Amino acid sequence: MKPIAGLALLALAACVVGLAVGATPVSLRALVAALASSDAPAADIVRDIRLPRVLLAFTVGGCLGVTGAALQALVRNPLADPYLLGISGGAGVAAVVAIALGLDGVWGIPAAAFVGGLGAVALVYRLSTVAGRRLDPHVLVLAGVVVSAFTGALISAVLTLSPAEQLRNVFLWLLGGFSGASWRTLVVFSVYAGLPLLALFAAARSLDLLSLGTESAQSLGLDAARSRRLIYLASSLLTAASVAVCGVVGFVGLVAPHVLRSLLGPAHRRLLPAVFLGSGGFLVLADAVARTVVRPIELPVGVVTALVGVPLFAMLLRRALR
Amino acid sequence: MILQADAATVRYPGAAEPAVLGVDLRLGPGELVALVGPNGCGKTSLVHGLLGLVPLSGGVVTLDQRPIAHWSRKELAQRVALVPQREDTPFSWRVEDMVGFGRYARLGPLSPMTDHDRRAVDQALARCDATAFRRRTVETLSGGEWQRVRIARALAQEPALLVLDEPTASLDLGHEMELFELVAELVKDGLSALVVTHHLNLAARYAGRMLLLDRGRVAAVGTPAQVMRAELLSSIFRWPVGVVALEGAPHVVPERRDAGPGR
Repeated sequence: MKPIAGLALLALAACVVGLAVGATPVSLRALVAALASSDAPAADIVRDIRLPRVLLAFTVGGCLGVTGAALQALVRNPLADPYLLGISGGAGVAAVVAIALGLDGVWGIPAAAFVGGLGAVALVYRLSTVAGRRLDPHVLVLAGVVVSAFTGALISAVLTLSPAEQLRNVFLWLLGGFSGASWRTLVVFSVYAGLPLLALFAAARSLDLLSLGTESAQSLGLDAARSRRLIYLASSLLTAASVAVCGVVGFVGLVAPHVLRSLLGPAHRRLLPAVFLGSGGFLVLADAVARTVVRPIELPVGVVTALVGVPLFAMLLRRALR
Repeated sequence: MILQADAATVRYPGAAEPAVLGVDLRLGPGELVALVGPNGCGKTSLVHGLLGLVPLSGGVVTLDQRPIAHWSRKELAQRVALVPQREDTPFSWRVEDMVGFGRYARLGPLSPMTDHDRRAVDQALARCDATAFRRRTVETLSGGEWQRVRIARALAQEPALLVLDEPTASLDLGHEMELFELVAELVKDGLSALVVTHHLNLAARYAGRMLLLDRGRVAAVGTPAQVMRAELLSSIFRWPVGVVALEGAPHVVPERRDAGPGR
């Protein structure tokens, strides 16, 4: 069996788990019945609540994973992730401000988050461009941490200054997760994420070359500056769209790219589709765990992804600094 | 003439002095030109200016009679291949993947490699004696193997001109000779080459012409005999040297400061 087919089966299995578990467990037979007919007993809960939720978690996970893999090649550092580079934080601040100002339409939050994400990219990039025009990979991670801390402080300030009515909205959104998922949010997310995702898939060969450094990439025929701009733009859009629908969820861009690169090799034409499936399945499972582990209370999904992501990050960091 | 520079000047923003000033260069088909000079004399800056990797702040560089700035990076990569001085990657690429990147400029963003592309990669690997380790990953290679892989990648570009920036910088004597022999063979088969090197004696033995740079300016250009003059090299490298003839090529011999036999 081809690796990609195996991954597709695993991702499908993750989705079945995501549909079956929750406050009211649904058996496999009831699940099939509910998907087949809208008159089945579990049809409402499966079709209107869990299916959009699982599909949203899957696409958001896939997009964050692909973004992480792309950023890792772009900044030539396996530690890069939209969360760790501060893009999620920047998107989060802008989204929180938009909500606090009452501009919280389904289309408005992603737009605000995109502006914030791009701002954070610019800031991180500036901070880490040391010694002339060189982008130091270790400084980059530090710059991401600094920008994340800064955006965290800004979010606290917005929370403090918000009137009580908005405060609840901001807080609910900040906790993150997919409890608000609906067919509508799935559509909004797909509209925002579709083009940038295709752009990253189409940039697979450019990402291969960018991982060799600017001088080599250019002499092999890549317009490195243009390609970098495109990838930053697409990554910021994908991160912003994700942050807008589920809040700031970290480390999704780290786990699957790392595991799959060691299995399939680094070539992005193979890696990116695999990462989409792997990260999608990972976030669906993380969401299922978040819903069930302390039932009936729902944990923010970012807690679960951090529990997996942080040990992996620590391991990668040790390896990178060795 | 493949590559021609007239009064090429490179000035980095904020720098007081230009890195390269008024350099003329002619490089014809099947020629091997060596670019030599002390550390920081502007060799790499000149190479970058010649290949459009930094903009020229004065003068003109033409490739096939067309100004370098008018070439797209893809077009340029099909005509000129550069092996940069330093290169590293965070990922474990296989040797054959790495050499396959030489085909990038001839591939569409999503189109797979054709039989012709694969043949070009196979031939480049064979030419550089790298076929045996084509399935190994690059971090397992020795310094000499890594350089051969990077030259194979450049050959997979099927260029007319090969530019090597200090290709033997960290190689031992045997590997250094192997590399110069390889480049000489490629030139014999019709490729043009520009080699940046600190190894004056090998440059004098293999290159048809040498270009000596000093503080961004051309200090001497011509046959090895015209460039390898003791008083000129002594003043530019700030060290007394003698020049002797060996197998018909001039050889530089640096002198000890006290000029006596070993104490």
